[in-house]
Amino acid sequence: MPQPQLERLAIEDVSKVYGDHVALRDFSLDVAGGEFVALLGPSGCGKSTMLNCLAGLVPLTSGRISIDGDRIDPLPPERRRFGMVFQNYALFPHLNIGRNVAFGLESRRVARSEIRARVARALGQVRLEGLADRYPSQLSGGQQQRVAMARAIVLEPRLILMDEPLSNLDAQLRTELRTELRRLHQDLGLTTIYVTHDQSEALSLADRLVVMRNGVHLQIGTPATVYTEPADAFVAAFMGYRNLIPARRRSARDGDVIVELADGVTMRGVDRGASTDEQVVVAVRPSDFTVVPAAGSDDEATGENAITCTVRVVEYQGEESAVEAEAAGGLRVHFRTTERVATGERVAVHVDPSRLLVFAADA
Amino acid sequence: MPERSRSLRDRLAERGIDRVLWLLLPAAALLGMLFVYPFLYGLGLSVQSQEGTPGIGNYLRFFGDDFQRSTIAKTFALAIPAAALNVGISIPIAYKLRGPVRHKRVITTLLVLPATLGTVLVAEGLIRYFGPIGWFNQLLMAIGIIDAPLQLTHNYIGVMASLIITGFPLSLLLVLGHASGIDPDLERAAATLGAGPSERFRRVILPLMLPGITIAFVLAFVAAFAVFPSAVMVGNPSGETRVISIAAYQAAFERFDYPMASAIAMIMAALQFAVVGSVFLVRSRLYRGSTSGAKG
Ligand SMILES: Nc1ncnc2c1ncn2[C@@H]1O[C@H](COP(=O)(O)OP(=O)(O)OP(=O)(O)O)[C@@H](O)[C@H]1O
Ligand SMILES: [Mg+2]
Repeated sequence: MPQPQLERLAIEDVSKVYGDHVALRDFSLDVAGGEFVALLGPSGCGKSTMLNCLAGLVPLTSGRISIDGDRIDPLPPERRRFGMVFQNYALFPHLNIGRNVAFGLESRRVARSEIRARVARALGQVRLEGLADRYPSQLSGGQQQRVAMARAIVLEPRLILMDEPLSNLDAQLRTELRTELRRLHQDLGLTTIYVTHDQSEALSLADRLVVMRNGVHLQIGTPATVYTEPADAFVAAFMGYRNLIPARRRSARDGDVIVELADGVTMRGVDRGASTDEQVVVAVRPSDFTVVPAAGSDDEATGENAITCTVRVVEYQGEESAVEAEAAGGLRVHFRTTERVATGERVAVHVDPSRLLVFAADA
Repeated sequence: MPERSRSLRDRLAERGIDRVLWLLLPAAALLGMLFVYPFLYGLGLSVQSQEGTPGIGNYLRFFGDDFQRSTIAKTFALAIPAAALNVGISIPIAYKLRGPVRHKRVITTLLVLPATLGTVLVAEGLIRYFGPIGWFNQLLMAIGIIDAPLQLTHNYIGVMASLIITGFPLSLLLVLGHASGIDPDLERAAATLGAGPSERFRRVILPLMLPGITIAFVLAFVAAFAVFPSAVMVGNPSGETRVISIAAYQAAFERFDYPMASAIAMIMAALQFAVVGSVFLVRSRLYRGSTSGAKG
């Protein structure tokens, strides 16, 4: 496996201000050579801005970016030797696929025979042999995406930047190409920074995740860490904790907290930085709820860490159903179950205390 | 019965013929009345003498007479450089203005304003400001750069200036309209691939702008070719700016030789057609598709 071309990319206190809007605030991140880092966050959180700052396409307001100790932020994009894959691919419509892939090599005055060989190899790596004479408009979306990839990797860039490269494709193609991206990253020893707003894409591709919001990162960690130990309620929401229920903190014991949800329902959960505030947020994944027999019509009689509720909406999803139910006080609860439940039915759902995370209310 | 008519419609649609196209019918009829009929009438008139005897005498006389024939060269000497300059100046400006630019609307309005003035007003302005006693010459003399006024009007320079002032806005609008449609990510992609600013312009932006540039050139040329008011008002209509439309005017309204005037009009049409046709021939070999990097 080829060695990565850089040891360490350091982003230090980078800020970007558009007019009076702060798109990035004191953003710092270290990336090791060969790493696959995903920037994840909702629309408008500054992911593309960070990527464009790295590529040199937008100037920094402040901060510095360096590679192995050399500052690169003053360099124009054409001198950074990074590859970039754009969301809409940005293939040159007037050039055929071969010329598109050869574009960067021609800029570098590489010899003609070498260009031909390297273009053929790059098209092979993205499995597009034989399409060199087609024009971009004659390719499918998935093929265009591969051309964009080939055009970037043919230059053997020291860093690959990808801005939502799969978001214009249908779900099946997306999973397929996801595997290919990861394969290319490993086979070619690339260092990759990947922007996405799709948590499953980020979790499956990246070695490390950076969850962003409003121009700052909230959590940096391995997919497993971010998934199981989200730093706050916002990250939790992004990681699939669909139930975010405001609650009051009652008491604490051995890292566990007792919280009171609306109308006297108390539950036990893990303290995740809920500090000593009274107002907290309880986070539970829909799949962590299990349906237990409801103890008659009497609300309080259900077992520990369970809520009694009335089924409102059932979405059939094959193996399972996604259910929205309403508990006392208008509380909405989302859970998944393999059991058959019907709209209007009274059920009780239970969650293990280790799966109920308690965060500070104001993230 | 409905099935039959439907399949006919589908067959037509496959060839790009659609019911909406019938809406073009009135326009086509109008074009026939306003253009084709006078053209054929003029063509018929041009191949007879003033007494009505058929023959190509008018054409022979035009090309046989140095004074008349030289109007062709004089017209081209104005129209080609004027069109090239108008489009040539438009390209860098359109390139700069194509993206989001501060005060873009004000800038475009100012640049395009001269088109609303009309040839006559521009000619008057040119005479007033650039004439022998205009402020431009006065100023240069006051500073002491020149001793005698520069001859800037009533010659080739005056007509060229008028053609640029009135023709440039249209060229700019056409080129800008086309350039604005170019996906800005294409240039950014070229930059990340190692292309510097001039290479990006040469290899990405210019090829994508070319179709718009050729259209703008053709229209600028046609407009300049028919130059008449400025050639008379700020030119030297009996000398260096005696363009072909003046020859036609004089034949028709000074000598009342309508067949000759028609012949000159036919010659003008043929010349313009030759230039426009060759530009389009070149254009047909250029890339003319989408200017965005994404699938449409
Ligand atoms: N050229 C610009 N001028 C002004 N504001 C901008 C500009 N570009 C981006 N912004 C603002 O900066 C913020 C971050 O934008 P950015 O494009 O980085 O978001 P993003 O995380 O990539 O979102 P998305 O997932 O929708 O692509 C947004 O609020 C956006 O409105
Ligand atoms: Mg973005």
